[in-house]
Amino acid sequence: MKLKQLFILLPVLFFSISAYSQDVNQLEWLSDLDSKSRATYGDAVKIFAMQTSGRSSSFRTDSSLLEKSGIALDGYSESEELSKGMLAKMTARYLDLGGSIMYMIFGTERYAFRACASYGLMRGDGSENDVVSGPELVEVLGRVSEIKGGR
Amino acid sequence: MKPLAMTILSAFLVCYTVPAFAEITVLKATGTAAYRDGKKWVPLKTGMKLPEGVKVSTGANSSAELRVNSINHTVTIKPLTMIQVFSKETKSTTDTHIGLKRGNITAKVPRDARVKTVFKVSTPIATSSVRGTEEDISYGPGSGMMIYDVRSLVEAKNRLGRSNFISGRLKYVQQLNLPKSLNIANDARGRSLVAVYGNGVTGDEVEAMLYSGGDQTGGPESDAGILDNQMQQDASINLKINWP
Repeated sequence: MKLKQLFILLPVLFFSISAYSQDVNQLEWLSDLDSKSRATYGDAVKIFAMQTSGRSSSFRTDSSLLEKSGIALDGYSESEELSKGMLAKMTARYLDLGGSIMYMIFGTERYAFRACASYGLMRGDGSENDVVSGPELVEVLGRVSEIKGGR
Repeated sequence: MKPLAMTILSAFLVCYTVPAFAEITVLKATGTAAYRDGKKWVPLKTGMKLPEGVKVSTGANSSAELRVNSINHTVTIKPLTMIQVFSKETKSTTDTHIGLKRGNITAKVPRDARVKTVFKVSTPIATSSVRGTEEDISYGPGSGMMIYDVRSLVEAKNRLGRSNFISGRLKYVQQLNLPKSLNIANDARGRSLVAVYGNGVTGDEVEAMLYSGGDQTGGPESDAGILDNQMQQDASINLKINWP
Protein backbone atom coordinates (compact mmCIF):
# COMPACT_ATOMS: atom_id res chain seq x y z
CA MET A 1 0.00 0.00 0.00
CA LYS A 2 2.77 2.43 0.98
CA LEU A 3 4.72 1.58 -2.15
CA LYS A 4 1.62 2.35 -4.23
CA GLN A 5 1.25 5.74 -2.56
CA LEU A 6 4.91 6.43 -3.24
CA PHE A 7 4.42 5.61 -6.94
CA ILE A 8 1.54 8.09 -7.09
CA LEU A 9 3.28 10.80 -5.09
CA LEU A 10 6.61 10.73 -6.94
CA PRO A 11 5.29 11.80 -10.37
CA VAL A 12 3.14 14.51 -8.74
CA LEU A 13 6.21 15.82 -6.91
CA PHE A 14 8.32 15.65 -10.05
CA PHE A 15 5.80 17.57 -12.17
CA SER A 16 5.22 20.26 -9.54
CA ILE A 17 8.99 20.84 -9.19
CA SER A 18 9.48 21.00 -12.97
CA ALA A 19 6.51 23.39 -13.32
CA TYR A 20 7.98 25.64 -10.63
CA SER A 21 11.42 25.79 -12.28
CA GLN A 22 9.91 26.44 -15.71
CA ASP A 23 7.97 29.42 -14.38
CA VAL A 24 11.14 30.91 -12.98
CA ASN A 25 12.97 30.21 -16.22
CA GLN A 26 10.28 32.06 -18.18
CA LEU A 27 10.77 35.22 -16.10
CA GLU A 28 14.56 34.96 -16.25
CA TRP A 29 14.35 34.58 -20.02
CA LEU A 30 12.03 37.62 -20.29
CA SER A 31 14.51 39.68 -18.25
CA ASP A 32 17.29 38.65 -20.63
CA LEU A 33 15.10 39.51 -23.62
CA ASP A 34 14.63 43.03 -22.17
CA SER A 35 18.30 43.74 -22.74
CA LYS A 36 18.47 42.48 -26.35
CA SER A 37 18.66 45.19 -28.99
CA ARG A 38 17.79 42.66 -31.71
CA ALA A 39 15.31 39.87 -31.17
CA THR A 40 15.48 36.69 -33.25
CA TYR A 41 12.88 34.45 -34.88
CA GLY A 42 13.74 31.92 -32.16
CA ASP A 43 12.72 34.47 -29.48
CA ALA A 44 9.39 35.06 -31.24
CA VAL A 45 8.73 31.32 -31.49
CA LYS A 46 9.51 30.88 -27.78
CA ILE A 47 7.28 33.74 -26.60
CA PHE A 48 4.38 32.63 -28.85
CA ALA A 49 4.75 29.10 -27.48
CA MET A 50 4.49 30.54 -23.94
CA GLN A 51 1.45 32.51 -24.97
CA THR A 52 -0.36 29.64 -26.65
CA SER A 53 0.54 26.72 -24.39
CA GLY A 54 1.82 28.34 -21.19
CA ARG A 55 5.29 26.80 -21.57
CA SER A 56 8.15 26.48 -24.00
CA SER A 57 10.89 23.97 -24.69
CA SER A 58 13.30 23.57 -27.63
CA PHE A 59 13.02 25.61 -30.84
CA ARG A 60 12.08 22.50 -32.83
CA THR A 61 9.29 21.47 -30.41
CA ASP A 62 7.93 25.02 -30.14
CA SER A 63 8.04 25.45 -33.94
CA SER A 64 6.07 22.27 -34.58
CA LEU A 65 3.53 23.37 -31.95
CA LEU A 66 3.14 26.73 -33.71
CA GLU A 67 2.99 25.04 -37.12
CA LYS A 68 -0.02 23.04 -35.97
CA SER A 69 -1.82 26.23 -34.97
CA GLY A 70 -0.73 28.02 -38.17
CA ILE A 71 1.43 30.68 -36.46
CA ALA A 72 4.94 29.55 -37.51
CA LEU A 73 6.62 31.09 -40.57
CA ASP A 74 8.33 29.11 -43.31
CA GLY A 75 11.97 29.49 -44.26
CA TYR A 76 13.43 31.18 -41.19
CA SER A 77 16.13 29.82 -38.92
CA GLU A 78 16.22 30.20 -35.14
CA SER A 79 18.95 32.86 -35.23
CA GLU A 80 17.39 34.96 -38.01
CA GLU A 81 16.84 38.59 -36.95
CA LEU A 82 13.17 39.27 -36.31
CA SER A 83 11.61 42.00 -38.46
CA LYS A 84 8.39 43.90 -37.77
CA GLY A 85 6.85 42.14 -40.77
CA MET A 86 7.68 38.67 -39.41
CA LEU A 87 6.30 39.52 -35.97
CA ALA A 88 3.20 41.10 -37.54
CA LYS A 89 2.53 38.03 -39.67
CA MET A 90 2.77 35.70 -36.67
CA THR A 91 0.54 38.06 -34.67
CA ALA A 92 -2.04 38.40 -37.46
CA ARG A 93 -2.19 34.61 -37.83
CA TYR A 94 -2.54 34.06 -34.08
CA LEU A 95 -5.27 36.69 -33.65
CA ASP A 96 -6.83 35.84 -37.00
CA LEU A 97 -6.81 39.51 -38.00
CA GLY A 98 -8.72 40.62 -41.08
CA GLY A 99 -7.11 44.04 -41.15
CA SER A 100 -7.39 45.00 -44.76
CA ILE A 101 -8.49 43.50 -48.06
CA MET A 102 -4.86 43.61 -49.19
CA TYR A 103 -3.80 41.44 -46.23
CA MET A 104 -6.66 39.03 -46.79
CA ILE A 105 -5.72 38.68 -50.49
CA PHE A 106 -1.93 38.56 -50.29
CA GLY A 107 -1.25 37.64 -46.64
CA THR A 108 2.27 39.05 -46.89
CA GLU A 109 4.41 40.45 -44.07
CA ARG A 110 3.98 43.94 -45.52
CA TYR A 111 0.18 43.91 -45.23
CA ALA A 112 0.26 41.99 -41.94
CA PHE A 113 2.31 44.90 -40.56
CA ARG A 114 -0.30 47.38 -41.83
CA ALA A 115 -3.09 45.25 -40.30
CA CYS A 116 -1.32 45.13 -36.91
CA ALA A 117 -0.78 48.91 -37.04
CA SER A 118 -4.47 49.51 -37.77
CA TYR A 119 -5.40 47.41 -34.72
CA GLY A 120 -2.99 49.45 -32.57
CA LEU A 121 -0.76 46.45 -31.91
CA MET A 122 2.31 48.07 -33.48
CA ARG A 123 3.25 51.62 -34.41
CA GLY A 124 2.49 52.35 -38.04
CA ASP A 125 5.59 54.42 -38.76
CA GLY A 126 8.65 52.62 -40.05
CA SER A 127 8.83 49.66 -42.34
CA GLU A 128 8.01 45.97 -42.13
CA ASN A 129 11.74 45.34 -42.64
CA ASP A 130 12.76 47.15 -39.42
CA VAL A 131 14.42 44.91 -36.86
CA VAL A 132 12.47 44.32 -33.64
CA SER A 133 14.24 44.71 -30.28
CA GLY A 134 13.62 42.43 -27.29
CA PRO A 135 11.52 44.99 -25.35
CA GLU A 136 9.44 45.71 -28.49
CA LEU A 137 8.70 41.99 -28.90
CA VAL A 138 7.55 41.77 -25.26
CA GLU A 139 5.42 44.91 -25.69
CA VAL A 140 3.56 43.53 -28.73
CA LEU A 141 2.96 40.17 -27.04
CA GLY A 142 1.66 41.99 -23.95
CA ARG A 143 -1.03 43.58 -26.11
CA VAL A 144 -1.73 40.29 -27.88
CA SER A 145 -2.15 38.63 -24.49
CA GLU A 146 -4.60 41.33 -23.42
CA ILE A 147 -6.67 40.94 -26.61
CA LYS A 148 -6.76 37.19 -26.08
CA GLY A 149 -8.06 37.86 -22.57
CA GLY A 150 -4.87 37.37 -20.56
CA ARG A 151 -6.18 36.50 -17.11
CA MET B 1 15.27 59.04 34.29
CA LYS B 2 15.69 61.80 31.75
CA PRO B 3 17.40 59.66 29.08
CA LEU B 4 14.65 57.03 29.47
CA ALA B 5 11.91 59.66 29.00
CA MET B 6 13.75 61.02 25.97
CA THR B 7 14.04 57.54 24.48
CA ILE B 8 10.32 56.85 24.96
CA LEU B 9 9.41 60.24 23.48
CA SER B 10 11.71 59.69 20.47
CA ALA B 11 10.27 56.22 19.90
CA PHE B 12 6.75 57.65 20.09
CA LEU B 13 7.61 60.40 17.59
CA VAL B 14 9.28 57.96 15.20
CA CYS B 15 6.31 55.59 15.32
CA TYR B 16 3.60 58.19 14.84
CA THR B 17 5.14 60.84 12.58
CA VAL B 18 7.53 59.06 10.21
CA PRO B 19 5.68 57.09 7.51
CA ALA B 20 6.05 53.38 8.09
CA PHE B 21 6.30 50.87 5.26
CA ALA B 22 2.85 49.80 4.21
CA GLU B 23 1.89 46.17 3.98
CA ILE B 24 2.00 44.91 0.40
CA THR B 25 -0.20 41.84 0.04
CA VAL B 26 -0.84 39.49 -2.86
CA LEU B 27 -4.61 39.31 -3.43
CA LYS B 28 -4.50 37.04 -6.46
CA ALA B 29 -1.91 35.41 -8.74
CA THR B 30 -2.58 33.36 -11.84
CA GLY B 31 -0.14 31.70 -14.22
CA THR B 32 3.49 32.73 -13.89
CA ALA B 33 3.79 35.62 -11.43
CA ALA B 34 6.78 36.05 -9.15
CA TYR B 35 8.74 38.54 -7.07
CA ARG B 36 12.48 39.08 -7.00
CA ASP B 37 14.24 37.85 -3.88
CA GLY B 38 17.96 38.54 -4.25
CA LYS B 39 18.97 36.87 -7.48
CA LYS B 40 16.03 34.52 -7.82
CA TRP B 41 12.35 34.78 -8.71
CA VAL B 42 9.92 33.43 -6.12
CA PRO B 43 6.36 32.54 -7.26
CA LEU B 44 3.57 34.69 -5.78
CA LYS B 45 0.86 33.07 -3.68
CA THR B 46 -2.42 34.52 -2.48
CA GLY B 47 -2.06 36.18 0.93
CA MET B 48 1.72 36.49 0.67
CA LYS B 49 3.28 39.65 2.21
CA LEU B 50 5.91 41.38 0.09
CA PRO B 51 8.74 43.68 1.21
CA GLU B 52 9.03 47.42 0.43
CA GLY B 53 10.63 48.06 -2.98
CA VAL B 54 9.64 44.62 -4.26
CA LYS B 55 10.00 43.83 -7.96
CA VAL B 56 7.12 41.82 -9.42
CA SER B 57 7.01 40.25 -12.86
CA THR B 58 4.34 38.33 -14.76
CA GLY B 59 4.75 35.93 -17.67
CA ALA B 60 2.61 35.28 -20.76
CA ASN B 61 -1.08 34.73 -20.03
CA SER B 62 -0.50 35.54 -16.37
CA SER B 63 -1.56 38.24 -13.95
CA ALA B 64 -1.43 39.29 -10.31
CA GLU B 65 -3.25 41.66 -8.01
CA LEU B 66 -1.57 43.44 -5.10
CA ARG B 67 -2.97 45.51 -2.25
CA VAL B 68 -0.37 48.17 -1.52
CA ASN B 69 -1.67 49.65 1.76
CA SER B 70 -4.31 49.28 4.47
CA ILE B 71 -6.91 51.47 2.70
CA ASN B 72 -7.27 49.05 -0.20
CA HIS B 73 -5.31 50.74 -2.95
CA THR B 74 -4.78 47.92 -5.44
CA VAL B 75 -2.71 47.29 -8.54
CA THR B 76 -3.63 44.67 -11.13
CA ILE B 77 -0.57 43.54 -13.04
CA LYS B 78 -1.34 42.37 -16.57
CA PRO B 79 0.64 39.78 -18.63
CA LEU B 80 4.33 40.34 -19.46
CA THR B 81 4.67 43.23 -17.01
CA MET B 82 7.43 44.18 -14.60
CA ILE B 83 6.94 46.69 -11.76
CA GLN B 84 8.60 47.83 -8.55
CA VAL B 85 6.43 48.91 -5.60
CA PHE B 86 7.26 51.42 -2.85
CA SER B 87 4.51 52.12 -0.33
CA LYS B 88 4.48 54.02 2.97
CA GLU B 89 1.62 55.01 5.22
CA THR B 90 0.66 56.66 8.48
CA LYS B 91 -2.78 57.08 10.02
CA SER B 92 -3.47 60.18 7.94
CA THR B 93 -1.30 59.74 4.81
CA THR B 94 -0.41 57.15 2.19
CA ASP B 95 2.47 57.48 -0.24
CA THR B 96 2.70 54.89 -3.01
CA HIS B 97 5.15 54.95 -5.87
CA ILE B 98 5.13 52.33 -8.60
CA GLY B 99 7.89 52.03 -11.15
CA LEU B 100 6.52 50.51 -14.37
CA LYS B 101 9.44 49.04 -16.29
CA ARG B 102 7.29 47.47 -18.97
CA GLY B 103 3.77 46.21 -19.55
CA ASN B 104 0.36 47.26 -18.34
CA ILE B 105 -1.26 47.82 -14.95
CA THR B 106 -4.62 48.96 -13.60
CA ALA B 107 -4.43 51.08 -10.46
CA LYS B 108 -7.50 51.41 -8.23
CA VAL B 109 -7.21 54.18 -5.67
CA PRO B 110 -10.47 54.61 -3.72
CA ARG B 111 -10.84 58.04 -2.12
CA ASP B 112 -10.78 58.40 1.63
CA ALA B 113 -11.36 62.00 2.69
CA ARG B 114 -9.53 61.47 6.00
CA VAL B 115 -6.34 60.26 4.33
CA LYS B 116 -4.02 62.43 2.23
CA THR B 117 -3.13 60.23 -0.71
CA VAL B 118 -0.13 60.30 -3.01
CA PHE B 119 -0.23 57.60 -5.68
CA LYS B 120 2.28 57.85 -8.50
CA VAL B 121 3.17 55.55 -11.37
CA SER B 122 6.46 56.32 -13.08
CA THR B 123 7.94 55.10 -16.34
CA PRO B 124 11.28 56.17 -17.82
CA ILE B 125 9.50 58.97 -19.74
CA ALA B 126 6.59 60.27 -17.63
CA THR B 127 4.75 60.07 -14.30
CA SER B 128 1.05 59.83 -13.52
CA SER B 129 -0.53 61.05 -10.29
CA VAL B 130 -3.91 59.58 -9.54
CA ARG B 131 -6.42 62.07 -8.19
CA GLY B 132 -9.45 59.87 -8.67
CA THR B 133 -10.26 56.26 -8.40
CA GLU B 134 -8.98 54.21 -11.31
CA GLU B 135 -6.67 54.27 -14.34
CA ASP B 136 -4.98 51.95 -16.84
CA ILE B 137 -1.32 52.61 -17.57
CA SER B 138 0.96 50.92 -20.05
CA TYR B 139 4.56 51.42 -21.07
CA GLY B 140 6.71 49.99 -23.83
CA PRO B 141 9.43 51.26 -26.17
CA GLY B 142 7.12 51.26 -29.22
CA SER B 143 4.12 53.19 -27.99
CA GLY B 144 5.67 54.96 -24.99
CA MET B 145 3.54 55.64 -21.93
CA MET B 146 -0.25 55.54 -22.24
CA ILE B 147 -2.86 56.45 -19.61
CA TYR B 148 -6.49 55.64 -20.39
CA ASP B 149 -9.83 54.43 -19.01
CA VAL B 150 -9.56 57.00 -16.27
CA ARG B 151 -12.33 57.33 -13.69
CA SER B 152 -12.21 60.83 -12.19
CA LEU B 153 -8.90 62.69 -12.72
CA VAL B 154 -5.23 61.85 -13.37
CA GLU B 155 -2.33 64.22 -13.83
CA ALA B 156 0.34 63.09 -16.30
CA LYS B 157 3.70 64.84 -16.36
CA ASN B 158 6.57 64.10 -18.73
CA ARG B 159 10.28 64.36 -18.01
CA LEU B 160 10.35 68.00 -19.11
CA GLY B 161 7.68 68.87 -16.56
CA ARG B 162 4.88 69.36 -19.11
CA SER B 163 1.65 68.20 -17.59
CA ASN B 164 -1.86 67.23 -18.71
CA PHE B 165 -5.02 66.39 -16.81
CA ILE B 166 -6.78 63.29 -18.10
CA SER B 167 -10.36 62.31 -17.45
CA GLY B 168 -13.21 60.53 -19.20
CA ARG B 169 -12.32 59.34 -22.69
CA LEU B 170 -9.15 61.39 -22.98
CA LYS B 171 -6.01 59.34 -23.51
CA TYR B 172 -2.47 60.37 -22.65
CA VAL B 173 0.25 59.13 -25.00
CA GLN B 174 3.85 60.21 -24.38
CA GLN B 175 6.19 58.65 -26.89
CA LEU B 176 9.93 58.27 -26.47
CA ASN B 177 12.06 61.18 -27.66
CA LEU B 178 9.13 63.59 -28.08
CA PRO B 179 9.11 66.80 -26.01
CA LYS B 180 5.36 66.68 -25.39
CA SER B 181 2.53 64.18 -25.42
CA LEU B 182 0.20 63.66 -28.36
CA ASN B 183 -3.14 65.48 -28.39
CA ILE B 184 -5.10 63.91 -25.53
CA ALA B 185 -8.35 64.14 -27.53
CA ASN B 186 -6.91 62.25 -30.56
CA ASP B 187 -8.31 58.89 -29.54
CA ALA B 188 -11.83 60.24 -28.85
CA ARG B 189 -11.73 62.16 -32.15
CA GLY B 190 -10.61 59.06 -34.04
CA ARG B 191 -13.53 57.02 -32.68
CA SER B 192 -16.17 59.68 -33.23
CA LEU B 193 -18.29 60.11 -36.37
CA VAL B 194 -18.72 63.83 -35.72
CA ALA B 195 -16.16 66.55 -34.99
CA VAL B 196 -15.07 66.66 -31.34
CA TYR B 197 -14.01 70.02 -29.88
CA GLY B 198 -12.36 70.82 -26.59
CA ASN B 199 -14.43 71.41 -23.47
CA GLY B 200 -15.91 74.92 -23.09
CA VAL B 201 -15.54 76.01 -26.73
CA THR B 202 -18.24 78.52 -27.74
CA GLY B 203 -20.31 78.48 -30.93
CA ASP B 204 -18.36 81.45 -32.33
CA GLU B 205 -15.09 79.67 -31.70
CA VAL B 206 -16.38 76.54 -33.46
CA GLU B 207 -17.37 78.70 -36.44
CA ALA B 208 -13.90 80.24 -36.54
CA MET B 209 -12.35 76.76 -36.41
CA LEU B 210 -14.54 75.56 -39.29
CA TYR B 211 -13.53 78.63 -41.28
CA SER B 212 -9.80 78.47 -40.58
CA GLY B 213 -9.57 74.68 -40.38
CA GLY B 214 -7.64 74.74 -37.14
CA ASP B 215 -8.12 75.06 -33.40
CA GLN B 216 -7.44 78.69 -32.48
CA THR B 217 -8.26 78.32 -28.81
CA GLY B 218 -5.25 76.26 -27.83
CA GLY B 219 -5.43 72.48 -28.01
CA PRO B 220 -6.24 70.21 -25.09
CA GLU B 221 -2.69 68.89 -25.40
CA SER B 222 -1.38 72.20 -24.10
CA ASP B 223 0.68 72.17 -20.92
CA ALA B 224 -1.72 72.37 -17.98
CA GLY B 225 1.04 72.71 -15.39
CA ILE B 226 0.34 76.39 -14.82
CA LEU B 227 -3.31 75.60 -14.06
CA ASP B 228 -2.25 73.02 -11.54
CA ASN B 229 -0.33 75.65 -9.60
CA GLN B 230 -3.39 77.89 -9.58
CA MET B 231 -5.75 75.10 -8.53
CA GLN B 232 -4.10 74.90 -5.14
CA GLN B 233 -4.69 78.60 -4.34
CA ASP B 234 -7.66 80.71 -3.25
CA ALA B 235 -8.79 83.27 -5.81
CA SER B 236 -10.78 86.46 -5.32
CA ILE B 237 -12.92 88.10 -7.99
CA ASN B 238 -14.96 91.31 -8.17
CA LEU B 239 -18.52 90.98 -9.45
CA LYS B 240 -20.62 93.87 -10.66
CA ILE B 241 -24.27 92.90 -10.92
CA ASN B 242 -26.65 95.10 -12.90
CA TRP B 243 -30.26 94.32 -12.05
CA PRO B 244 -32.60 94.88 -15.04
